[in-house]
Amino acid sequence: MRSAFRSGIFTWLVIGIFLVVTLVPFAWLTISSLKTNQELFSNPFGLPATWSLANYTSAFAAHPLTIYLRNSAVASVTSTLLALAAASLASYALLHKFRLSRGVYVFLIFGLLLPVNAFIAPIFYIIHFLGLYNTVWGVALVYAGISFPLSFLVIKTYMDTVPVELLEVSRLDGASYHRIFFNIVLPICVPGIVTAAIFLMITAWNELLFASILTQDQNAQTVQVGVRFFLTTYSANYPQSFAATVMSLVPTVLAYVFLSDRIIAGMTAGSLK
Amino acid sequence: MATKPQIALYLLPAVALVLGFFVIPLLFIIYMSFHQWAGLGPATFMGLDNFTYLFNDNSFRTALTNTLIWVGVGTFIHTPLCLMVALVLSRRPFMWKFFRTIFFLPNVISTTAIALLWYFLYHVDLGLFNKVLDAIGLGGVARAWLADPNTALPATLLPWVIYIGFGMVIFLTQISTIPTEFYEAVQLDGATSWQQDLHITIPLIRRAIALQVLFVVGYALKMFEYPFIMTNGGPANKTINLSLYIYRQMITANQYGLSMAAGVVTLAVGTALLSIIFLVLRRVDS
Amino acid sequence: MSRIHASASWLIVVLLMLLAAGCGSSATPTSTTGSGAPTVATNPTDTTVSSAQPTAAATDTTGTGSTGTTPTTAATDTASTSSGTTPAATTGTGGAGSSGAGTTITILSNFTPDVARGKVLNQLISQFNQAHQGQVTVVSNPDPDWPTLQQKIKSMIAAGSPPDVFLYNYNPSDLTREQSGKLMDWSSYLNADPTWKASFRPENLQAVTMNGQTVAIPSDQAPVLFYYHKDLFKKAGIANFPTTWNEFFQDADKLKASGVAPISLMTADDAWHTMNAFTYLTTAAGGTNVFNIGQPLNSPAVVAGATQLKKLFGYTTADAVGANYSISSNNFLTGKSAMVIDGPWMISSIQSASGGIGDIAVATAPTNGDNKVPAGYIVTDSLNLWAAAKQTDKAKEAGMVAWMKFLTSSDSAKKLSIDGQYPLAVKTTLTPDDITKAGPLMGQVLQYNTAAPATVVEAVRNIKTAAQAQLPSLLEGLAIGQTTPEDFAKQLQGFNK
Repeated sequence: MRSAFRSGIFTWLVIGIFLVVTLVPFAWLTISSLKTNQELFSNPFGLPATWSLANYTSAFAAHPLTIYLRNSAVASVTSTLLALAAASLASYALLHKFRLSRGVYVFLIFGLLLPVNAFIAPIFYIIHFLGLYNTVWGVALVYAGISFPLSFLVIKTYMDTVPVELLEVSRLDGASYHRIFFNIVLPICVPGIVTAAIFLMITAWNELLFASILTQDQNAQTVQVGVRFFLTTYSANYPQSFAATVMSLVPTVLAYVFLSDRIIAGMTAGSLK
Repeated sequence: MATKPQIALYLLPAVALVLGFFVIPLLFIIYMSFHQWAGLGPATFMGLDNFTYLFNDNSFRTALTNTLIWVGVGTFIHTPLCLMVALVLSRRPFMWKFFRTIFFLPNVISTTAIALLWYFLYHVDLGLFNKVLDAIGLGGVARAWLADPNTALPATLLPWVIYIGFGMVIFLTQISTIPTEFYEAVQLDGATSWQQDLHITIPLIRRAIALQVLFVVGYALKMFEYPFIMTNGGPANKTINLSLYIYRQMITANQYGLSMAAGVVTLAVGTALLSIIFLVLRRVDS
Repeated sequence: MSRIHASASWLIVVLLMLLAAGCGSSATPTSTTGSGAPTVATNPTDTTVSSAQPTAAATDTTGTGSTGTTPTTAATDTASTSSGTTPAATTGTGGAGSSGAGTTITILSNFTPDVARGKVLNQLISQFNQAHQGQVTVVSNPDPDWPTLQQKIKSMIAAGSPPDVFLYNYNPSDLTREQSGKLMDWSSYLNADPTWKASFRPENLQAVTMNGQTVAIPSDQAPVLFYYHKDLFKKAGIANFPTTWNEFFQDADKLKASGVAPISLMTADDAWHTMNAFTYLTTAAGGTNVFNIGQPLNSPAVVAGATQLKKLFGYTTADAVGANYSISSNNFLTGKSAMVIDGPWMISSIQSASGGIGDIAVATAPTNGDNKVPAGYIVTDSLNLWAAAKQTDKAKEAGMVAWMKFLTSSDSAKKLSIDGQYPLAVKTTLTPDDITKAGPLMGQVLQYNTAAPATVVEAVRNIKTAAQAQLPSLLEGLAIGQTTPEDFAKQLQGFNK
């Protein structure tokens, strides 16, 4: 039993260490965001003398954070809907075996393995060509495009569990191709679609590179782009930028608190296969 | 039976997205990588000059090396840490689900926010690191972590290395599919839990390990936020990587041709690493 | 379900567009080739300070200029551009005024409404909009971060759609913007209005005239000077600002001993503060023409400048390596460093710094005490220019011309220099009263600028974009002792080819 004791110590040591490294930085950030600039420099450990949300209100005043948050929300929701629609439609089409179906399948997922960062220049031009430069829609379209292969893989995997017999029966009942999709297949696939949706929403909310090359002002900039402005414009106000950083992560963390199991499943959905 | 036009209609959006965001960009960067182009005006055909330039450019070589260091650290330090925590939690200690949820948390938070957070943690005056070192009497070790050529690269890597949540969940999911009977026999033989892990669990989740390494490669090739926000590649290019190099050549230097040639090299590196993983996996399987 | 159905059909339409676009996009954007190199002339300009007064006496001058350096006598352009500034940022639209019919013109600049020049711009905009109600509405879209703003403009031109009207910095080594063929030609309007044309320096107009087309209107060219905390100097036992670099480094030792970082430096983006120091150090060693176009950047003067700069890195804040403009200037404004080399927009930051930041003065650069450079010579920012997107809509083009004439009119220029601390590169006459109104620091700046026996354009502004992109890493290499000054000069020259 000595060894069980020892492995018990090891277990709790590992858990303890990783709890500390995971939580302490975030706790420090949150507590620091409530301090004044002077307090931050003089007493970086302690709790703030007065708990004040001054940095938060001034962060909202200094940069149009509300607009950034709104843009992020619009881009995430739109791109998620686009990618889900494209992925479900294509998955359904591939439920029907035809001569090229294997080839189409490979074509649709080959992007999964490509590092899309290599494509910033051509994608920049494509979005410009579409007249979507500096719009949330352009950002949303790019997110839908670059995360399409993974959403397709997730939804396709789920849709493949729909029994073929069910489709046969419905067809014999006279249901049309479209009806079968909307009334039978889609409802069955809701869990798979939700999984993909979670993954899509979170990746879109968190994306920085494309958001920063495809936008040029607050009409389109997302919160990930905007949060950096607290450090690149005049007079780096640290507590204020802490507050802005906290604001940028509140939506996802809040969602995570309520839906952690679903989110974990959604984020790791790519490992299903 | 579904007609061809119906199927085609349903495939259309997907095909358009893949064409627009993968196929055309891929062809475009391959084509442009042989040209000199400032983004404005005509492109000049350069043959392989861009590639010659890249491999003679110190900052590109550093970017390539650093990307490979990310892959290496991800594979040989980060992944074993993920595995260790997964094995610990797989024995279902008290509140293990809660810990799993906490450890996964950083994956839900944007890399931008995490990069900013660590930029603050490393800050020379107000950062937590230097203050802790001061407090425990190690003030001499305190430094500008991100500006010191010896510590900058490890400093940008550290958050990624210790946020083990993603790999841990992949391993935990896989471990949970192993039937308990597999362990019963060896438990009767008095195998310690460590021996059980080594001889039963790890071999049985080797596909998950390969998958995790696959994610590591993808992550390392796509990683942009950490170096961009924490150091912007500095000091003296110590922390630059391929993504940042591509970005810099395009956005700062307006050398679109070079940027896309670097993109082509990135794709080649990615393909090579994936082939290696698949080869290794095949050998382990057989 | 119907919702999904609707979104699906909408999606198909969008994606069809994408498909069509994708096919077209592999063609490279249309080409343009530029003319030969322009006969360059950048020059500080033209706010004439009238009458003798404590501040300055000078008549307007027409500096003869070749790029890089230009001996001039009077020249009191000041003002701003440059790296970041401002706490409160891009609050979109500037002008009040009519939001009614007519055409809308959006202006991209770094005139954010929280700094003096931005406030004045917004006043000018509403004045203009009121006068042109129903025809033209001007809207300001400022970005406080200068390097980002410049990249943004380049990207937009590259993609074939330049902003309506925008402020950018001239670089004789990078004429891609001027030669893009996407910019409006102002020459016929300038020729049609000789008074307007005469308010600009001919060599400034010449610099942006390609193939007979004048593609930009001169805005300003800011003097870069040494701003320092007098109280911190006093505390360190220094009575006067050093006049030679030897004294400078002795004083820097004293400042360091008193517990303050002598000077703010930075290496990110355009490394503005550091490159200002480098330009001063290099010209002090080799004369005002060391950065002229065509001069090699691996010259002994550059090596000497780099050697001194390496030394200077020993006298800066701990966070200088990797710091951007806001961090570096914040170090100065909060008294963590005693000096910063910057343009007059710093004054606005000094004034708006909360709680007052003590006693700040401005000085010209030290020399090496030899005759390589005349005492009181000044490094300037690049010439800044207003340009506009080529228009097919004649009404919009007319609106742009009307706005640009209004902005560069004598009245607007005066208002911008006094209330906005941003003198334009147009001929204006300032009375001593005006200068008093501009405040003591600004007065001093105007005085130094007027008296400057020679000017040099800051080094970073005249080198090729490929070299600019490498500057941060080259400077960091120098700072951390990885690169020797000789290597620094050699590599800089290599990237500038």
